[in-house]
Amino acid sequence: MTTAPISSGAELAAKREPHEDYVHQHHWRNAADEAEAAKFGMWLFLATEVLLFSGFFCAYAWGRMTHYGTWREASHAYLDWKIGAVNTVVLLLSSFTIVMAIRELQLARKWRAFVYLGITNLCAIFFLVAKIALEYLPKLQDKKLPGANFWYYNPHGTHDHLFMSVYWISTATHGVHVLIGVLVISWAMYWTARGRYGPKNFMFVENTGLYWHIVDVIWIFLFPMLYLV
Amino acid sequence: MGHHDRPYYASKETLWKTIWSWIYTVDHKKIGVMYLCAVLLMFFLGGVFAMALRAELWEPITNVTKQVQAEVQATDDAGRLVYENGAEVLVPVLNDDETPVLDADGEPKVEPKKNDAGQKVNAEGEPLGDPVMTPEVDADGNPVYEEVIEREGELFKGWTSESGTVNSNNVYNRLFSLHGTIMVFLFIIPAIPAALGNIFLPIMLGAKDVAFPKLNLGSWYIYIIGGLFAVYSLIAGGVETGWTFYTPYSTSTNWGSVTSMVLAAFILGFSSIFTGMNFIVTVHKLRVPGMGWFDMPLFIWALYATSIIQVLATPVVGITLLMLVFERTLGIGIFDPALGGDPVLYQHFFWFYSHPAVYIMILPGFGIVSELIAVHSHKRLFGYRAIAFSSIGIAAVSFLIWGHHMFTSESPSANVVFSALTFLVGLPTAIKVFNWTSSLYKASISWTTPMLYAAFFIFCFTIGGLTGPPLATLATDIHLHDTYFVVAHFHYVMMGGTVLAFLGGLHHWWPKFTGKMYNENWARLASILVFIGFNITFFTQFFLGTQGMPRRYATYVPEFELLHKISTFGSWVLAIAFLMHAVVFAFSLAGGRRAPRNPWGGLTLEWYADSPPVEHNFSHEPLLTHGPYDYDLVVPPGWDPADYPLPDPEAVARAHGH
Amino acid sequence: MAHDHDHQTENEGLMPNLEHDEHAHDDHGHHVHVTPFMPMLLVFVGLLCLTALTLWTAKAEYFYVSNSVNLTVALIIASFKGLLVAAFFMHLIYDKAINTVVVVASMFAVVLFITITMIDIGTQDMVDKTEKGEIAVGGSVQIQVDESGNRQVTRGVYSPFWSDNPGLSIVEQAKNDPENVKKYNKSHAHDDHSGDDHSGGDH
Repeated sequence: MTTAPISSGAELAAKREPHEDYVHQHHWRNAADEAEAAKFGMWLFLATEVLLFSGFFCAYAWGRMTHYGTWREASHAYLDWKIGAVNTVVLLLSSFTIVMAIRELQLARKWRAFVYLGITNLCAIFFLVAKIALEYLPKLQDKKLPGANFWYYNPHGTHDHLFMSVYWISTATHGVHVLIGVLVISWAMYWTARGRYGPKNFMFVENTGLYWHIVDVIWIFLFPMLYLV
Repeated sequence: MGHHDRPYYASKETLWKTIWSWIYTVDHKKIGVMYLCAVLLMFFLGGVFAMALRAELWEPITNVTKQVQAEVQATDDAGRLVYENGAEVLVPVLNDDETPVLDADGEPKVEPKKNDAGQKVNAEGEPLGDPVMTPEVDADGNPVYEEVIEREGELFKGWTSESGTVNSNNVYNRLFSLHGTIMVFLFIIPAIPAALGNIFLPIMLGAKDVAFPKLNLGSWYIYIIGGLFAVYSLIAGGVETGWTFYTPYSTSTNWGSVTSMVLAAFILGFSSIFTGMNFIVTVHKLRVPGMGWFDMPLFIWALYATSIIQVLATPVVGITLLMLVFERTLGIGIFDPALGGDPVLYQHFFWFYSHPAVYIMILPGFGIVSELIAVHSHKRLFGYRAIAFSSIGIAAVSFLIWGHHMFTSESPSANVVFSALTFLVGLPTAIKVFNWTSSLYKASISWTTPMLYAAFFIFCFTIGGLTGPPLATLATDIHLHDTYFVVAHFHYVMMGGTVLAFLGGLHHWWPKFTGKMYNENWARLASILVFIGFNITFFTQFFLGTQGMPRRYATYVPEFELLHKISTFGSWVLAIAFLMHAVVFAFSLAGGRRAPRNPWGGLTLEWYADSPPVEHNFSHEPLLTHGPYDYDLVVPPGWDPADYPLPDPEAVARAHGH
Repeated sequence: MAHDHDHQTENEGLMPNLEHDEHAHDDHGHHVHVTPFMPMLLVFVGLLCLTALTLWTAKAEYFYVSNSVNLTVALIIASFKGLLVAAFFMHLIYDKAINTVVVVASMFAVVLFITITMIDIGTQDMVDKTEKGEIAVGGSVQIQVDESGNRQVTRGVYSPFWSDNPGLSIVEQAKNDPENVKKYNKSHAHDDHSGDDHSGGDH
């Protein structure tokens, strides 16, 4: 990089961050409409996410109702609430940092935003690694698998396999959402570093945050249901 | 900019650029046209299956016992078997050392002479050919008879697969399952919203495009991927679970390719969700300046209500089908009674989506009919707000009544609740029908093809709607459950409702998005044939159902033969009528008259756009100055005031007694 | 009919020739609400406290009332946490109300889905015993007739959901019911006889 003083308007323009020249898409009347619509659309998408997970909640409620006895025993026998609790705290922290990232973008401090996004991403990766290494792999070895594949040598109740089914499919679907979150946040980090996002244009990061929060909220419900009671 | 005066589908400099401009387009009109082609293809495919299953039902499959004279192979005087090319030649069996083999009695063993290929040959070494048969007689010389059971009325027989011989019943099961799956997931749900809605929703709102054009294109590609999964499943043996995929049959059957079909429905759900999200945001944020909520055309209201259902209900079927896939691949057991699961839980999961989905199918049809009646009878629509709110009301009620699909499987107390709630949906639908008929009162109706379809819609939908209460009533439903009465009921609503409205809308907007007029007289004739064929096909099924003909059976008792034959005959009339429509459209595209801007005299914003519209719909952003149905105040754009006399305000005031 | 009057270029009356410059629109209406730091930090701390509260109520011995009660408590705390995240982290309280409407609608659909399904699942085996002591579908009321012909109406709830003996099938529960032990034996004793005149009493 040269350090020569800026001499022309063109060079000055080249030094501008891309987000400062942000122009909304042509079919919108103004940027405010575009931003509001993007957020509204994201909320509609989040509604579909909530309803998607409602299937698991319904299956959980069904199991709790019809296999009342074994359902709570299985939870205590097979799941370690400490891992779940740590992961809960990690997800809450990541939710907080992504809010802060958006704040920094609104204040046009892109490197701070980048760092916050990075912390969020590290939390997400920690969540996934803890989930796989401390929960999924030992359960695979013990054959505490869903449904017909449940071959644990020392079963606790008569319908443990159904509890493990609900556990596996709901946490795995949640895990896939976390993984998608990691990819999207990485994308946001890349373009934050390139200066695409700023006070005029932070809707992508904002919507990423909304998505991340809903992943968090779903975990807030899954954690006590599966691990605690 | 150049694109402001050329049709949206104008070709580019080279063929490849033209193709690329369609593949990569974010223009809602092009995406809508691509959707239209795809859903029409799927309609054809589903229609072929329907024709095939009606053909199978032309006569019942019966086992006929016949007395036939028994036959045995002829022998010559020496007791040798006789063949086409002469009698067999018996040669002695030789040991390795060329000595004859002796049997138990010490006689030399003989065997028929064979060539190297193992065929029996005559003395000249020629193959003997087929055996010569002769009637069998008993010791007294009387002919011997034997009983032979023949299956008659089987249209599809003798097909084999890896799983064994596929008989007619299996083929029939696949036919109705594929008919249902394709018609529901690939045709009727995307038909009006994703095709006609995509083309006209932004134009009617005066917008340049939908809110998220890229998402719109993504939804189209997701639809295509889902369609590919479905077609793969079809080639890989089809499904025979019915379109509902009820467990435990769908989780235990090894026939065909259930998993890929379930995945297809799962993927298609996302396409539907994205279209719905797009429409909701578009309606909220992209209405033209001056257009309030109650200045929107009723088609938009209907699409808005549809989109709400799509967003709130479709994810549940997504997770249901995903769990079904897990059930088949991982054996999670939640729906499997063998593992302690509950198949009724699956039915709840499935119908929580699929009952609202019924309104995803019919609500856009309501919207189209509102447009057709207003435009083609040139009159202000009666009860605009009532129709608008009834759409939203139907969307709300649709979430409360899914249990009426499960009257035979759920608990008695839930039955009572769902039965009572089901009657609620009659209110908003009746409001619509009454308002449409009131709008026709003293209107100057032009009997164009779209108007004919609107009239047919009201007729058929009313029949379909009024046969709903017997099915919502617990006592009668137990009798009618899973009979042809149900089949006739939902075909009167889905086909007599949605398909007729779709066809009406297609004719109504055809000049707008293709820029060509179609031949009105031939189209009218075809539409009347559709109406006649439809009623012949399905009205008979009400009788079949009340008499106890169960649905999804490949055969029936002989008493039902006449009604089934009439029904099948009706399906042929329908097929001919649809082909006529296709020919009329093909002629229109090839050499139709150039469409004027406003052929019917509509007042909504799409009639202010060019026919066909330019790339961003309007050359200037329109400004709304009147309501969508102000026929008593405004001369429609492109019409001569001399041809369109507005009512004299003083005369109107006198008529109202002022 | 005036179909041939095709004024593709006329009839601009409703479409005034606005100077339609995409960039000329007013962007100043787009006020960015900068996310405040302190409230968010407080919400975060509050969420951590609520997590601790969940753990405490679920794990501490003296908090154990019954399984259902503890589940309800945990879900109430979780709902409160979700509310905090939605209202502050997800900016619902700063945004237009329409986003809240979407959330409420989706929550409404979820609640509807789960409760109505559970109403059915919970009442699947809720059946009525008629006066003859047979088990029949329909209703949820149990009617007993004693020797002097007095009718005693009680709630006949034999669902695992409501029962004191979770995990038993409906038949097992009915058999365990002291009221029914006699009746079961009686009906077996009647197997030898022809009719179903249980009401007669003397054979």
